[in-house]
Amino acid sequence: MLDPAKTRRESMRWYILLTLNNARPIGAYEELVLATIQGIYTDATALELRRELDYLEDRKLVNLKKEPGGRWFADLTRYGVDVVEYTLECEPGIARPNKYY
Amino acid sequence: MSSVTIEFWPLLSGIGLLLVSFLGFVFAAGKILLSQTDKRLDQRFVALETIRAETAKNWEDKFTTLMISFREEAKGWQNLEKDFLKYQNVISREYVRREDYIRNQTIIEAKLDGVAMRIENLQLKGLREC
Repeated sequence: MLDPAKTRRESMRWYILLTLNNARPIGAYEELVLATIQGIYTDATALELRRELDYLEDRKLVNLKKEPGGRWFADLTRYGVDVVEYTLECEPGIARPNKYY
Repeated sequence: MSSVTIEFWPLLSGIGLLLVSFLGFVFAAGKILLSQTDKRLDQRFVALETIRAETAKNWEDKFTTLMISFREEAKGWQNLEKDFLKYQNVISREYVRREDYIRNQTIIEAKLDGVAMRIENLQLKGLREC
């Protein structure tokens, strides 16, 4: 059974992880992540992005710094890096493709 | 009581002589005084002129060095400006903005993932069709 919303959510999480991996070692503000995700899903919204970032934080893959000014700053944790680099098994919830290289 | 008689003309001439000699003395004294004052004033003016000339020369020297230093400074700023423009050019040509790099790289990776997925699906479908 194909569920487009689920696919979109989970792919978005994977793309967020990829973005933050490219933004290492500094990390990135949510604006940059959103701009990147919008390069893939043109209709991605800030709220959607924050939801997925929050989910990734709950999974301890991402560190979030919620600044008093309202901006969020995201950075990969050690586990996040391992997931992106295929060192760890990825539990369901993130559409990580199989390693093909 | 004997009386002294002085005749009028000798008296007049005596007084006149006295007056003339006195006036001559005053005139000569005045002249000497004036000439001395004049000399002093001249000396003073010469001294003042020397001082003025020296001061003017000093100022001129100072202004000249100041102008030279200004010119050198201006040259330095010009060089700095040129260097800055050069670097601006180099930066726009040789460096990629961090944000742009992250975005492009991620999108390329995402596209690669998509292609890999498609190939995988094709392989699976092909297997099923076989």
